[in-house]
Amino acid sequence: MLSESRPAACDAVADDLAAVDEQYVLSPAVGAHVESCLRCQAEVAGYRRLRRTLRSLADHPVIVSPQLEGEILARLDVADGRPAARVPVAAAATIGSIAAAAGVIVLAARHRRVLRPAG
Amino acid sequence: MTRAPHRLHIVTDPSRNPGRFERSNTADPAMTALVERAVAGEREAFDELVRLTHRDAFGLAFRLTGNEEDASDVVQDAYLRAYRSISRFRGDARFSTWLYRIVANCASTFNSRKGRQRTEVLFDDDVVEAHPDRDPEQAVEATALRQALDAAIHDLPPRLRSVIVLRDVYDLPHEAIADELGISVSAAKVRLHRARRRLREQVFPLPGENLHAV
Repeated sequence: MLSESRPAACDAVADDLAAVDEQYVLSPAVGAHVESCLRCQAEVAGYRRLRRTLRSLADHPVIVSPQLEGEILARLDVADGRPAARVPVAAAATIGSIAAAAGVIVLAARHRRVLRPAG
Repeated sequence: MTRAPHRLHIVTDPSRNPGRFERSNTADPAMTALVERAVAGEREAFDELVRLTHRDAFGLAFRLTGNEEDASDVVQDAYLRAYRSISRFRGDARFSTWLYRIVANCASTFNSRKGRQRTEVLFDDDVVEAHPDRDPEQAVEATALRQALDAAIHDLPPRLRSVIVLRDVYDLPHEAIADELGISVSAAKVRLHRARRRLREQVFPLPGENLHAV
């Protein structure tokens, strides 16, 4: 069972454990301590898991506003001295979908009017 | 002035982020060609780079600023700066790394101008399943873990947050991080280790450590 307070020997190597990554490996002395210490082994495992989860964050980015792309390109247009009137691809797709849906509704309404019997 | 907290929407299915960079070391030939055209001054090529990369750039800016509106400002500044200096891009680093450095620099300037404003991040409930073919219980657990970690990152002081996000999330070298933040490499490493320690104690605590968690 792991003790709740950190022993002095573990305190002495704590910074080394946080430093371990692809570019840094433990010195033989620290490695020897870790090999004989369950608490430090658990700490190393925690850091490994932490780094793995941190790396996975970049593959799960935040959702971006559809306007952002257009805003960036508009800033570049201004820098270039071009007129800044852009519709980002995502926003254009949304507008297109809404227009298409509206068209379908209008056509359907007309069709129903034609089919409805007079009187 | 303090801004209202923003909701953080996390895309948990990478296929929903079609413009994301590949993190392998081998450069994508199509991307390389696009960068070469942009370096040669072709505006349409740079626009295409914006389309392909702005989601990742925004993700980094969001994690560095902790705020959606600030991240949007930072990303716009970063692309403007990248556009103005793309002719000097030598191609000895990957375009993504070069762009990340510019975003980091803009975020650092932005944060220091703004002071140490703390923002709270709320997580949305409508998170999409990452790998439907995988064990759903594991997927839920992984998502919860990422959310806890994202929240813990946002609780870090900005100087620790910047270093750990750039190094451990976006894989920038220590030297590049030190350059962009205007600190020495050893200071960057000290901050990184301190940040790792705080995150590990909060997200993966050993017995006794969670007593200090807020």
